Amino acid sequence: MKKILLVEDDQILLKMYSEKFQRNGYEIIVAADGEQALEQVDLLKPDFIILDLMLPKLNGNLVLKKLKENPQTRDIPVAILSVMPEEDEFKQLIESKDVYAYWRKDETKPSEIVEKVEEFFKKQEGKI
Amino acid sequence: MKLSSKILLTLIGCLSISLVIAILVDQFLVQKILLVNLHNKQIVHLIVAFLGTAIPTALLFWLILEKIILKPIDHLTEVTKDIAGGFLGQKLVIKSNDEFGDLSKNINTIYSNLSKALQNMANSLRDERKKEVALAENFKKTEVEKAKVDAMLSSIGDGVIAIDLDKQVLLFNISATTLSGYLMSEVIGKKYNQLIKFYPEKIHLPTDDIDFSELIIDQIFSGKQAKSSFRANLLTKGGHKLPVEVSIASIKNYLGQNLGAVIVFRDITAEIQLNKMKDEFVSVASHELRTPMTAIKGMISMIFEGDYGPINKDLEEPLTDIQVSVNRLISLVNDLLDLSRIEAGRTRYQLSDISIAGLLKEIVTLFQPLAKQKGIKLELEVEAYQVITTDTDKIKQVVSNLISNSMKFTDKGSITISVHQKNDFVYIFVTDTGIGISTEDQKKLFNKFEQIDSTQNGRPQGTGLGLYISKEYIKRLGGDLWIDKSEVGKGTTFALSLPVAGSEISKKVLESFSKISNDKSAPSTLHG
Repeated sequence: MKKILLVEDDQILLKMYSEKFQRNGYEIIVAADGEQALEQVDLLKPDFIILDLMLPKLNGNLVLKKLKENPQTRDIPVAILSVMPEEDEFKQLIESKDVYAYWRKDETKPSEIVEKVEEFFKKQEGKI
Repeated sequence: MKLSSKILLTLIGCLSISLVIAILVDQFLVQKILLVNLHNKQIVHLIVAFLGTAIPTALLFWLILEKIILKPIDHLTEVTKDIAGGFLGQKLVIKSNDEFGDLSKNINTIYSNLSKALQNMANSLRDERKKEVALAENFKKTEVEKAKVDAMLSSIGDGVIAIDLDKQVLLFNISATTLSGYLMSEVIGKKYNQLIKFYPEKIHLPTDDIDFSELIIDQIFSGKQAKSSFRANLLTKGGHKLPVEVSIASIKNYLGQNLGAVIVFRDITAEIQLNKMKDEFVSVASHELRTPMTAIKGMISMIFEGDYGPINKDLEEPLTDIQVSVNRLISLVNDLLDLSRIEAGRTRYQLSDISIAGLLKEIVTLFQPLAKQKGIKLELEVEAYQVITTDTDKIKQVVSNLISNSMKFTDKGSITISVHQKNDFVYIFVTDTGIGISTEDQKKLFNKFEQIDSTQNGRPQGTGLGLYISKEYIKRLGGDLWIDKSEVGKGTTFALSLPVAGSEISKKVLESFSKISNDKSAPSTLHG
């Protein structure tokens, strides 16, 4: 079972996405702030990280930076899930494969997010 | 006749007359009247002859000489005395045809020349004095003007530095000292960037090899640019980085030749802080508003997907209505956030070169499922493959807005998007076979919060902001948005124009975002 780390500070959204992913056969790890996110990555080594940007303690951008700096966590795929229309700013990071995708929380249904993650794993498996 | 001749004639004449008188006196006076019987008649005759000759001669001689010599000499003496005394009104009047006459003429000429010369000198002197007075007045005026300029320069809050063609500081006002920390005495006469260094905004450490202010000044001096404005960080004497807005312009003389340049810089710390606050506010507001709406929307979709168990049939309709309402709310919040950024001048633009055809293809593909659902034909006709320099997300937003509007108001038929190019512009037309817009409504359409009264025809409500926002974005990007044509019952065509990459207008748009970017390949985030 694939492990998904959900980093989201809103409790209700966290509950919602967890429910959806669990129903679709994924194991969910949660983190409500940036520091917790890094701890969880260290501890539990997820297969995919869904990262919100606006987070208490350490914001999403810094979390991403730290993840990419650490050779142990560099290769874990990260998708940004945010309410901000900042996709263009992440374009370069997406092109350089540091970020897998940028999804708009308020424009994407939970089921669609699950679909996109499934797509990633399928692609990954297709290569292997 | 010469004087000597006159004198000779006079002498001869006098002598002659004297002789005659002597004879007469001798004959009548001495012999007859005196009746003297003299022993020595010869002596008497001699005495008479002598007296008779000498006295009249002398008298006559004296009389005539007085007329021909002494009088003219007196006249000469008098007049020349007057001339010597400075009275320049007299003239010699000796009309005789002799040396005195000539002398008189000559003296008159000398006198007249002298007179003229003196007059000229007096005139020149007068003119010189006038010039002096005028010069003194001008000097006074210049001093007054200089004092005014000094007063102006010391009272403006902006730093003003004037440099000559060697980039040496000629002028450094008080505000320049206040802002930079350097005294005028420390910079005057030296090359300005020995102490006054402007660094590009994003660079955090002073790097000696990036002195783009000097590059700009070189451009200005070589005539490639007349002026330039940019934001930079000024390194103060105290070692702080002061954010400033800098304007550099050339100083020219009346012939249009460069004399130097003037650098004006303004502290924008407060402005930057204010903008930061505005941006943070909008960011936080959008985050806070969108998060709960995402939750509502997400969970309704999950309810419909059965994630929370089977749904009571009766709940389907209300749940759908909630979904519709939340979607409207999300649209409205998005529009309001866009609007607040537009009003604050804080809209973020990211410019890059894109192929307009490719972009439209992407958008049309996204709308195909919806079009199919409604049974409407959605087509793209491309006649231009231009590259445009623009903000991709904004264009996506605008075109999507137009297409979804068309979708809303078209029940059957087609929606066609076509792309043409003419001169320096690319034109995009969105034509539908929908219900059309009346001329009345057309006038109001681009206003804030104006909508077609759709409650009556049961069409989904919009926000009334979409077209206003779209038009603002397009105009800022150098283009325009308008209704090409519309007929009630037949359909509508919206038109959108954008400048082609590299065109004059496109260049002006890039300039208008007034940002110095040393890396021209990276898309730049600009505010406007």
